[in-house]
Formats: sequence, structure tokens, C-alpha cells
Amino acid sequence: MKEKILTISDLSVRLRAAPHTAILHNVSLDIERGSIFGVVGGSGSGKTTLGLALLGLLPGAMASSGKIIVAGKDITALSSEEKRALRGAGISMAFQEPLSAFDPVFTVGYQIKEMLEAHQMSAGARVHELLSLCGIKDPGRVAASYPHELSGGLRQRAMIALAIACQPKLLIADEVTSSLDVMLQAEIMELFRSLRKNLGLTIMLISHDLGVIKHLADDVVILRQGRVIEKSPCADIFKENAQGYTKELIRAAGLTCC
Amino acid sequence: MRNLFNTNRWAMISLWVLGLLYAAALFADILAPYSIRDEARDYSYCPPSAVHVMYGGKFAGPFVYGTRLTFNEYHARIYIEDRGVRYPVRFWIKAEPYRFLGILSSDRHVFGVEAPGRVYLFGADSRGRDVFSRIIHGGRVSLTIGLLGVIISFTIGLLVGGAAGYFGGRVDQVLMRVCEMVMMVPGFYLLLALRAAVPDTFNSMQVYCSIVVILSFIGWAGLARIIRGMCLSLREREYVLAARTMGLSHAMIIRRHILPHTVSYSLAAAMLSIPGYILSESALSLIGLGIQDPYASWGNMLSEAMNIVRIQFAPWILTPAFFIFLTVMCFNILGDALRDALDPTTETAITPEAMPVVEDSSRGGVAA
Repeated sequence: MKEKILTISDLSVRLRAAPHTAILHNVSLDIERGSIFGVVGGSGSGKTTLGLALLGLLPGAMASSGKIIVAGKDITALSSEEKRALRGAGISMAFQEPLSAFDPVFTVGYQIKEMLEAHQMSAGARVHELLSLCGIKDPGRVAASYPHELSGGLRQRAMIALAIACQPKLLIADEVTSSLDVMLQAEIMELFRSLRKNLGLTIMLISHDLGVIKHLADDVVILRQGRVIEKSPCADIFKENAQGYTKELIRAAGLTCC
Repeated sequence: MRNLFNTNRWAMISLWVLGLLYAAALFADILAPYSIRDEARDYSYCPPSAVHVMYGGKFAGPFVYGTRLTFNEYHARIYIEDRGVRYPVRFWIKAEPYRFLGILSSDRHVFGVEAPGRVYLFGADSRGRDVFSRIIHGGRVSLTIGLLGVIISFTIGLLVGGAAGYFGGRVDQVLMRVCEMVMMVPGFYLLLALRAAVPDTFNSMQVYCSIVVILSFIGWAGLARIIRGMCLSLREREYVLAARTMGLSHAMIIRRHILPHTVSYSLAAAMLSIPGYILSESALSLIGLGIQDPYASWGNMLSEAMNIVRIQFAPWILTPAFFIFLTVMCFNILGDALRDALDPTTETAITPEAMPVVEDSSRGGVAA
């Protein structure tokens, strides 16, 4: 049995104003070190809320309960300063739309440098190194560019470079491939594979796209209305005996069961 | 932005005028023929001296005649030119010594006349002091008080507004109620009350600083409110959330990812609010609560002009008002231009050269 990097037990998230409305309902899951873990679900199933809950960044209107254990530490018990230090260095997040996730008034390189400095790491050549690591051939130019000057694919690579800058143990990739075309999706998926191989990065892949999940993930959890519907190794999901909602999802995605 | 300044002629002119005024204030000691303490009671309300260049039909270089004091039929003092004495205007003349910016000792002035003669470009005030020199020296106070006041109050306003808007909730409530308390009291009364609280034993430098502080104290609240509103919307942007997931601290996020987005607004607002500070200082000095004699500011020079009879006989004591007007107008034009330049949504006039050339499709062209 492999080492667990993340263990969530009985995580519930509710709206403070309407305590009976659960956005996440007793979610429990384990992620092994070095695996790619898929979180699948339709819109409003609580995928992104799960990601934000892991980072301790739920909007003020939501309250959470349950335990989140990252590398043996219960992060729900940490002080806000300890949580801040954990974000980026312990767990970090890459977003669907890098154009809005990068601050438009600073260059990409500056924002990566800023993040390194926020975690007391020296920047220097590291910025270019990170960009190259994410498959960018011309790191100098990309670092000196503003987000809007880059193409969608480069921007997403830069976003991932930013997210892994402080060597996080867990990267939450929230729909990172959803706004890209199929070719770019394939490239980004390849990038994730190489990052896992080279850095031993654990990736939590949040997506509504079963195709991406099927190609990349080791284990999958399927969420529906804040509840875990199914939790199994990726290969099992696409087996003939898929049931209920899972089967609907697979059929809707136009994927044949293997 | 540079483009807009190039096409906006009035903004360019304003920039130059302000540049000259500030340069004059900086080099006041050298530029002004007389120091701030210089006075000549025999020349009370002496009118502006005429600078002549021709003497006996020949070019003789600039010179002024001596003046003689007499009384007219209403027993009012009048000065007439004494054609018997000539004082050539000399450049780079040795006169009163000064320490430039408190460091360099010198006694050279850009221009002036030899000792018994006096040159009054803008006339003299009640104590025979040169209005021109005092305007240049007074510019040091009047021009810097606006800048300093704006810098201080905008720093406070940005921080308070930024914190209130970013954190929201209780922080917002408390900070905004404080803002409203400051805004509640009518500005001028607050100004007077705060000035009254300052000890009257202060020297001129301390008075200057206290005025800056008082003006900033009144000015920050309005800005803080607007910045708060902008931050409320800015903090919902995804890059703010992204910055938080990267583990940036609140202070860093406010400083690097919230406030920079308010810069275009606050820069223009700052430019547009400088005139308010200059006017407030003038008002304070006008009623004798600002800079005290012998030190000059444009406001306290005008306090002499509060008597209508004096304006009637010596209209030149109103010159500082012209400079206040000029400065305020330049800052307003510049602020407007800056706001237009920085705000892409403002419609700016398209110059004829920039208009796209439209082919006349009625003559044989195929309409698309």
C-alpha cells in the first residue's frame, strides 16, 4: 500500500445562511502520493468547492466540517498564517482560465517571481527553469510577456508553472484543459504525466470531461450534488458494469466502455 | 497615454506652465531679486517699475529710473519716475547672500539693480516688499502644500479604502463609519477647528507641516470611500483568488493585486484634488491662520487685498490670485487629460488625421 498524501474524511460544506443545503455531503477520499486523482461531476456538483475547501479558501458564506489531512497534518486545525504558508508550497491550484487567473497588469515572470518570494524562495533562474519544465521552449520571452500577449496553450503552461513553482505536494488542477482545443488538451495531459514522472507530483484533476480523466487518472471519484457517487480505480469506471449515474455520464460523453 | 498628451495641446501647455512654476519655486533664492525678509518701507505700495531699454533714442540695455514719493490732490501717496537717476538692470548680480536649499552659500541673483535703486516687476506691498520675489518664494509653500497633502491623504485613503474593500465585513463597517465621521463635519470648520488645536508657538516650518497634516486629515475620507467601492469589485476577480491559492499574504495581495488596479483612477483623482489643497491653504492663510509673516504664501499675500481701498490704489497686490488661478486651472486640465488617457471607456475626440479614410462607394465601388 502506497503512502497517502491526502485524506479527507467526512468533509461537509454548507451555506451559513441555509445550513440544510449541503454543497458537499460527507465526502471522504484518499489520494496516494504520486497518483493522478480524477474528480468528475457535472456543473454544480461541488468539484470546485472541494478544491477550495482543501486550500481553506471557501467563501465567507460557507462553513465546512470534517477533517482534511495533508501529509499527516490536519489542516483544518491550522492557524490562518500556517494555512497561508501551506497554500502554494503544500497544495496549490491551477485554474481553468489563466487569462483571468493571472493579474493582467504584471508579466508572467513577475508573478512567478512574486510567488517564490512569498514563500521565501530565491527566484533568479528558477523562473525560466520552471517555464522550461512546463514545456515552454522560449522561457525568456514568455516570462517577459503579459498574460494577454500569450497564446492559450502557452498561458495554460505558464499557469501550471506558477502553480508548481513552490514544489507543492499536491496540485489541484481545476478544469485546466476545459478551455483548450483537443490538440492542446493532449499536450497539457502529456505535461501532467511528465510532471508526475519527473517531480513525483500528486495531481488532483478536477474535470467534467471524462475523456481527459480516462486518459490520465489512476483513481476517480464521481460527485453528484455534493455526494460521492462512485469511488474506484479509473479502469473500473469504464468497465461494462458501470451503474446508474456513472453509466449516464459515460454515455453522454460518447465514450465506449472498454 | 503619451499619445494623448501629445495630441492634447492644453494638457501639454499646462504641464509646461506647472513645470516652470515648480522650477521657479525650487530656484526661488536665485531667481528672486529680493529675499523673503527684505523690506523697504519708503516704497510702500510702489507700483510695478517700468523697465526701459532706450535712453536718449539709443539702445542702452534694460534699466529702471529712480522713484520719488509725492502726494496727489487727494493726499494719496503716488510714485513718480525720477528721470534723473538710472539704475541698470544687472544679471547675475551680487546682492543679499542666501543658502540655496540650505546647502550652497551664494549671493548671486539672476537679476537685480544696484543698491539704492529697487526693481519691482509686480509692484510692492504695504511694507515695500517685492511682490514678484514673494510670489516666487510663496510658491514654495503654495505649490508644495498641495502635492504633500495629496501624497499623504492618498496614502491613507488607499490603505483604508483598500483594507475596507478587501476584507469587507466588520473591518469595512468600522473604517467606513470613521470615514463618514470625518466627512460629516463641514470641511472649512474642521479646518479651523484643527488649526485652532495647533499651538500658536509653532515656528513657520512647524505651522507648514501642521497645515499639511490638517489638510490631509480632511482629504482622505472621500477617496477612501471610492477606493473601497473599487476594491469590493476587484477582490472578486479570479486573479485575487489565484493569488490566495498561491499563498500570498493579505497585505501583499492588497498592495500588488488590488491597489495597482485603482491607480488610473487615483492618479487622476489626485491630480484633480491638488487644487482643493492649494485653495484651502490660501483660505487658511488669507484669514491669518496659515503661513505667518514674514514668510510668504500666495494666500497670506492676498490677505492684504482684503481691503477694497487698497485694491483700488494698488491693484497689483492681487497678482498672487492670478497665480493661484493659473495653478489650479493647470492642475484641472492635467487631471482631466490624465483621466481621459487612463480610462479607455471615456470617449476622446478623434482627430481628423486619425479618422479612417472611407472610400466613396457611390462612384463605381461595390457596396459590401
